[in-house]
Amino acid sequence: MATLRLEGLVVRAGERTLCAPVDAELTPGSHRVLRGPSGAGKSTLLRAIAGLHADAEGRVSLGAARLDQTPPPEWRRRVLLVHQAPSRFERDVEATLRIPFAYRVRRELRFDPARAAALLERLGVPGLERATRPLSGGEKQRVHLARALLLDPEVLLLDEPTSALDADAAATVRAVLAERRAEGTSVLEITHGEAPTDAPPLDVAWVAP
Amino acid sequence: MGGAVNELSNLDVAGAAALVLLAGGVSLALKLQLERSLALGVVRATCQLALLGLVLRWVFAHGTLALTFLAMGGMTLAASRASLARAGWKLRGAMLGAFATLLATAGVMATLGAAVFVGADPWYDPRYALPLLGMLLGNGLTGISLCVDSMLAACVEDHDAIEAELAMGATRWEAARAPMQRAVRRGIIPIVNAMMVVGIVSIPGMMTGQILAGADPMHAVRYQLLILFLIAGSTSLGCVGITGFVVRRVFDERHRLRSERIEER
Repeated sequence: MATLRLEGLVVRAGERTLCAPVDAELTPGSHRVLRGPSGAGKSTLLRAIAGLHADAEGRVSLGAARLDQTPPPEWRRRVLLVHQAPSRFERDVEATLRIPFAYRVRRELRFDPARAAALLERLGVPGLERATRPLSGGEKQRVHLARALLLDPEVLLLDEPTSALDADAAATVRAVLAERRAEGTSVLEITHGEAPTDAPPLDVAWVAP
Repeated sequence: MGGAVNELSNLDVAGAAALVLLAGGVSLALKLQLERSLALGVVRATCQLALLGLVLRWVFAHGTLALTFLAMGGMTLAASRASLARAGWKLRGAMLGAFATLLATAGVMATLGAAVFVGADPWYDPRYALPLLGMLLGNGLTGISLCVDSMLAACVEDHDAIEAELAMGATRWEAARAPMQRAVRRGIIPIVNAMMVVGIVSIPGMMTGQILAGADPMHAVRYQLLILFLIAGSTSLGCVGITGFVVRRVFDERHRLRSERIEER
C-alpha cells in the first residue's frame, strides 16, 4: 500500500476553474472526507484523481507511480473511483460483480464466489444469484460498492456511497470500510451526511460559480 | 438477355405522372394538403433522374478511369454528408470518418464486384461500377447513420455507466464494447431484414427493373443476390468501421470518455 499524494491539483470545467490548487496526502489506512456546496466540483475532483477528467493540472501520485506516467487502466486498478449512481448491471448479481474481472488489467485476478457471497451477506444484500432488476436503489448501491471492494484497490474514491441507504445500512457500510482501512486501504469520500469521527476533511478552496 | 425490350417513351412516363396528378386532385378535393408535396416530389424526381441520366450517359460514353473514379468520389462524398445530416448529435470530424468508411467499404466492394464478379471490361467500366456503388452507398449510409446516432447517444446518455467501467480499469475498447455491439446491430438490422423477406414480401426494385427490361428472371435473381451480398458485406463492415472511428474520437488515448466533444444538434 502506498500514499496518494496531490500536489497543486486544479480542476477546471471548460472556462471555469473549480478550485484553488489542492495539496494533500492520503496515507495507507486513512480516511478523508470531501465536502463542499452542490455543483462545486467535488465529483470532478475525484474523477481527476482517477484520471477520468481531462481538464486538470497538477501532480497526482501513488507511491512512486505518477498518474500522468502510468497506463490509465493500471492506475485505476490501484485507485478506484466508485460513482454515485450505480450502473452497468447484468441480469443477476454474480454477473454484475464479475464484469471487471473480464478486463485485461485484472487478468491475474480470479473471481472468488465464496468471498463475494460473504461480502454481500455482510453488506446486507445476500444472494449471488439474485436478479438485479428488482433491487432497490439502496441494494444496488451496495452491490455497486461490493463490486469495487472485491477488486481490492489501494485507494477508494467514493462519491456519496451511502446516499441511498438508511441509517442501519449506512452503519454497516461504515463498518466494512473501517475493516478495509485496517488492512491498509485508504478512502477519500464525498459526503453530505455524517462521516466517521476519525475522518478529517480534505481542505479544498472551492471557487464559487 | 432474352426477350424484346419494350422501350418507354417520354409520353409513357408522362402518362404515369398523370396518375400522380389524379392523387393531387383527390388531395385537393379532400383538403389533405398533400398536393404541394406531391407536385414537388414529381418535379424533383424528374429533374434529378433526368440529370442523372444525362450525366451517366456522358460518363459511360467517355468511360475513362479518372472520370469513373471522380464520379465515385463525388457520390461517396454526397453519401457521407447525407449519412450524418439527420443524426441527433454532432461530432467533429465524423464527416471524414464517414467518407473514409464508405470509400473503404462501398467503394472498394463496388469496384471489386464490378471487376471480379460481373467481369466488367475494362475493369472500371462505369456502366457497372457506378450503379453498384449507388446501391451500396444507399444502404451503407443508412447503416452508418443508425450506427453513429446510436453510438453518440450512448456516449452522452450512458456517460456514467461507461465511465464506471473505465473507473474499474477497462480500456476504452472494453468500456465501449456494449454500446458498440448495440450500434452495429442497429446499423445492420435493415439489410438483415431485407435479406430475410426478399422474394417473399418484396420483389427488389433492381430485379423488377431487369425483368421489365426483358431479362430472364433467373438471370435477374443472380444479379440481385450478388448485389444483396455486396450490400450486406459492405454495410456490416461499414458499421464496424464507423463505430470504431467514433470510439477513437470520443475516447482519448488516456482512456477517458470525452463526451464534451459531442454536440447536441
